[in-house]
Amino acid sequence: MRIAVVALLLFCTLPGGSMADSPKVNRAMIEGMQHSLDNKLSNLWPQDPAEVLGVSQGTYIQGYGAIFLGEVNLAPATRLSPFHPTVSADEVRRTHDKKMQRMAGIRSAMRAMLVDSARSLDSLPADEQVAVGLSLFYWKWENRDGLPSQIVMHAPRKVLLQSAGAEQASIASEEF
Amino acid sequence: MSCELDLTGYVVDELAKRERGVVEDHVRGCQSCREELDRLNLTRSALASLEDEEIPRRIAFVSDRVFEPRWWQTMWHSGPVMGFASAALLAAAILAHAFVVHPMAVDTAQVEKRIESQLNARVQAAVNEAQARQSAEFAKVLDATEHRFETQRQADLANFLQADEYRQKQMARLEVASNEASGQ
Repeated sequence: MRIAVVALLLFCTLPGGSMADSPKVNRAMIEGMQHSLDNKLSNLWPQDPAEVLGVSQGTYIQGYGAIFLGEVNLAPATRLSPFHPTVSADEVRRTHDKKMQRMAGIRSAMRAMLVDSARSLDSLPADEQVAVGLSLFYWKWENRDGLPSQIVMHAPRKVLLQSAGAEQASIASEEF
Repeated sequence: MSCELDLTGYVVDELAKRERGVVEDHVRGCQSCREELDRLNLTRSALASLEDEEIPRRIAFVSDRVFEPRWWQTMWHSGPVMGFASAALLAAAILAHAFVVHPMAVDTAQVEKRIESQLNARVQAAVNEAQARQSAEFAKVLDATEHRFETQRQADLANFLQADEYRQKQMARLEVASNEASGQ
């Protein structure tokens, strides 16, 4: 009798386990969104592009949603080298001003990425989140007043799909 | 005084009784004579208070030897003699000083040696003090320089590491792009 009960329980758990192992969003979809994120960041200012550092990463967490992370230098500046050992106050000021000017653009681009991701990730449940985290790179000599180190935006997919545009979507945004 | 009375005789008591009466009657009525009589009485009283001095019995003449100046008075009042005497006294004093007072024997070698040793000691002390002060200042400057150098080195290292990390991220991106391109 005991053996029969155990066998019945094992039989019942097999279909559930196989269903739990299959993610709702597959890796190929995530990679596609990674490229999309890279391209958007690289082509944000075509005349004077921001520099995307490393490869943007994305992952799907079952029950939470899809998360994309990237790092970008909003205003590439002259690097320190033996031929350029110091940075002038004017360079510091210009770099800071440029990054401050680009903050609005990067926030807007991140909102657009969230909406695009929500539309592209068809298999993502509507209640689950789409999140984008962007780390901003700074050289040690830079003036970081008023500039965040990281921007994180996220919203449920259904909210993103329901909004008419990225600017109108109700997106939670946090800056650190 | 216009009155012709012998007041002096009255005062020295040389007048006769009748003449004394005349003087006394006149003095009562004449103020100037009365004042003159008072002055004469005062003089007589002063003279009376002096001791009697005996009149010298010996009479001397100016030509007497007793009035001749002594030899020292002659010298004292003679300028040339006093000048000569002073010069002679000074010469005698010099001679006496030369013969009596012997100069103190000075060992110049020892004095020089002593001066040299004191001088050397002071110079050495000054040199030691200067060296100590210079060493302290040098150590201070060296510490500050080392600290500044170390701070700069740490900053350079941090900048280098950050630049290296930045470059690695760029390389990783290029490598991924290259792989994807070759895969296509």
